[in-house]
Amino acid sequence: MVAFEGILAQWLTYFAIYGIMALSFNIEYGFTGIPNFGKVMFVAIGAYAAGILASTLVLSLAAPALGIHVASQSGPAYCSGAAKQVFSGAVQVLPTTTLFAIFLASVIAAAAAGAATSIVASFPALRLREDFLAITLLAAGEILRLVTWTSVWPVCSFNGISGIPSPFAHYLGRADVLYAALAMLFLLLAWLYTDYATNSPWGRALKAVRDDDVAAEVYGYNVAKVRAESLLVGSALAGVAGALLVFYSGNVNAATYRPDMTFEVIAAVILGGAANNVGALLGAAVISGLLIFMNPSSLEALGITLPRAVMDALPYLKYVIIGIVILLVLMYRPQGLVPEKPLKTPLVEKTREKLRRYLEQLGRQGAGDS
Amino acid sequence: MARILETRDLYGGYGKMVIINGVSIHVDRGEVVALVGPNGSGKSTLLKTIYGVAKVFRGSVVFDSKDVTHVPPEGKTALGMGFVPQTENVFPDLTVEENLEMGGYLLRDEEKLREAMELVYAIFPQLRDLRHVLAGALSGGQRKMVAVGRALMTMPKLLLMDEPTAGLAPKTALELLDKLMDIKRETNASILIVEQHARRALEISDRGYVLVSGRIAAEGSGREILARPDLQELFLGKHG
Amino acid sequence: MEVGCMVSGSILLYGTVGSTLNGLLTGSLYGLMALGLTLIFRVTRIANFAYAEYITYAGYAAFAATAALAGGAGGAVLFAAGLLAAALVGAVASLLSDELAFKPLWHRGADPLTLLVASMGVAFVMRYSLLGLAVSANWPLQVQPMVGNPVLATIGGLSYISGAHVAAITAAVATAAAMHLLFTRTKTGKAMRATASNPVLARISGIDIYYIRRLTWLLAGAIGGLAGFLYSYYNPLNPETGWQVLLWIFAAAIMGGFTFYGALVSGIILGLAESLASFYLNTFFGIDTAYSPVIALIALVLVLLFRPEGVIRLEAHMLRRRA
Repeated sequence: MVAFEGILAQWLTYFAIYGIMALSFNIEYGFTGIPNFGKVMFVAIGAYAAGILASTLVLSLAAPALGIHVASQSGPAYCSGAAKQVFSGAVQVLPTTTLFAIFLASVIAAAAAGAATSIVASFPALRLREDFLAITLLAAGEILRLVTWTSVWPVCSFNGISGIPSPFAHYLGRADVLYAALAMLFLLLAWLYTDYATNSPWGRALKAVRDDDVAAEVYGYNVAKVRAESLLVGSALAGVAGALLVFYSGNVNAATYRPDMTFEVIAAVILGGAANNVGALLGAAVISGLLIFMNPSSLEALGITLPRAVMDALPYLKYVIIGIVILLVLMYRPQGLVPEKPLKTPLVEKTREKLRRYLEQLGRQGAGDS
Repeated sequence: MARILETRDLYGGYGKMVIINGVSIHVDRGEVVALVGPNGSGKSTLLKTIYGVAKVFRGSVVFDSKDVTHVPPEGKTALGMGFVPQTENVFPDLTVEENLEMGGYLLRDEEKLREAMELVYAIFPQLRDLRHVLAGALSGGQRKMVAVGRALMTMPKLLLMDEPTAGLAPKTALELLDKLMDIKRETNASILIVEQHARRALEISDRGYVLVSGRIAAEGSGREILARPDLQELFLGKHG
Repeated sequence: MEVGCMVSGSILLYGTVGSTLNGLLTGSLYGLMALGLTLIFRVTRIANFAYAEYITYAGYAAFAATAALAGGAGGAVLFAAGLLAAALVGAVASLLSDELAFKPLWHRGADPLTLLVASMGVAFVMRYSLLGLAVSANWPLQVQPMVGNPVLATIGGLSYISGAHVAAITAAVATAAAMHLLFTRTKTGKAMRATASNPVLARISGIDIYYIRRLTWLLAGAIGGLAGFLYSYYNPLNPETGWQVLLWIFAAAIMGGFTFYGALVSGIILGLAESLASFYLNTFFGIDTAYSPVIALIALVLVLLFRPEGVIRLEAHMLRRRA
């Protein structure tokens, strides 16, 4: 049962992280019509910001207490071997409150970094056709990944930063369950905020821009501003997801943030239904479930055994399944599991009724003409 | 049968929208029939429905005694029909000559292809000089010539034309309509022509139909329709 | 001091020559692959992310074919077998992906972005099926066709021309010439251009656009397969190979404005840029050569931001002699 708890905690944590990413993508694409295929880039930047701040804080707070001197050599201080020693010893000298403070500060930094980066993404978002925009953002994400993989700045090239302590580091046995609960709390907050925002006048502005940006402009919305705001909110959320991932795994490594992750998020939103927050969460639950449960270690922990060959292929099969799910959804149920509810207000109803009667009249006129 | 084309209670449109509401028209062999009506009445859609470019919801289309209701556009061309759309009626990335060659795609013989092309160049001498120019680079009037020329390559027995004079200067428009008479003479084609400029079309036609809101509102010979007072407003306005 | 200057001078010279040759090699292959991608985009309007996987599959097929024949056959036979296997598998993989995924979606009225997402789905399925299969069946993940890459000539002892150089550049030129003839001299080729230009009018002209569509996928797949085979000559193949070149070939295709020869030329330019820039940046500024893929990506982003219609647009008619 202990093992099962562990897997469940893993899944809930991933569900939370993917849920926030899905909500983020949903705001940008589902509600505003911006296909942000560079999603992983914003998650990565949030993760990097969180990782850099966290490691810097841990170093400055714990190193003196541990008596280890850390100096930056050919790169940031937190990449050095001495830094690693500090990280492993940090739990001994930093109380939970400090660890939590570092965590919160990093999450905020991540959100800010994501939001700041969105300003860069706004430029292409205004000018390009949707599939070209998708490619641009994808390419931008890859540039970031390649550069951070090779360069010692900002996250120690291919080694990455490792050993960042979880806020629950002192609760050895229950750390993963506690962290899962914390992550779910963040998901709840993100969902409440997103639901509120998308049902507000701002949300209607997003949909107006998505459905017909020329009409929206005429109606009085500042289309460029609305798009920029949408990306801002989405990217801040993405940054938070990145920070959560960092503290969950304790690592920051460029290799984690591959375009595959963007595609998993897209899959979640398409599966669940675009422009629908519950749908996004549903999709995230399914996708994160696939990612966590289709692993040899997870299945072993659950007591399920399969032939060796299948077990070996499992980590890859899950992606095959995700791909197939995407294709099936696009073909047979493109609106997703939970379709977008049309906006029903008394005004809309009255307008529809009037329109219907007018069209009927036209039809009668046409027939009766000689 | 004397009828080269007949539609029976035809309903057509796009997606779920029904635009043509139970239209029955016919074209006899050797006739020029005009289809006129106010803007938005569905004239283009009728032609497209007949040709299979728009969706047929109900009814039938009979060509040369064969039921072709559900035959796709490429099949209709193979059977001897031809269509000149109003817009997007050339291959802009191909040269004039290549456009004509594509018009003659179904011709098996190199010889027949050459003959057909010579015929088109005879009817539209300007095109011979413009042979190697990209269709996309041509003026509106030149493009129309290519569009009509492309459709003529298969020497269709029935030619459907959607507003061939649209966007043309009056002089050019009249020239084109004159050419239509040449075409009819050279190829013996029957012609079903949609025109916004009702008077012009009815003057050169044997018969006409008036389409309003997707239904036939009137039919008769060109002169009859032109004479009717209740339809006068169709012939007034910009085109005079 | 003088000797030192002379040595570095000759290193520079031979380094440049070598980089140029390598750049032409990789550039030719990028160009070919971009040509295939462009073909699909022009006729079907799909920005096809799965194209990379046809290349990977084709490379593996070439390996399997040459490995199977390795014992008894000579170099030329192995080469031909590898080539044939690669072209065939590339073509079939390409056609199947259309029949099973893209065409059904197109019939349901899918927009370009949906088709792009679908292509990512197809890519996922193909790439990870291969990985899963290889891992569970214990196949070697990194392979190279058993054809060998003979060194044909050396230049100044510091750079060399190998079979791969000759094959790749020849293939690019030959394919370009063949495509040119196809598109400008044959009825089918012109019908392909017509379908790309105006599909509805193509049908009205009597062209069976489904047949043209199938032909397009087969041809694009075969070209990708060919390029994949040549690529695997000098680069060990792994299941991620296609994905690694994908952004390069998108960059080339987009730089070329999705025109056939523009894509080819852009591919060559990108290949040369990658090779030369990486050599010079490394020699003079000590910049790690691992950064070189970034060049293509930056080129891609810049083109999309400032000139999305393409930088080097070259069409068939532009290469025609004035009549």
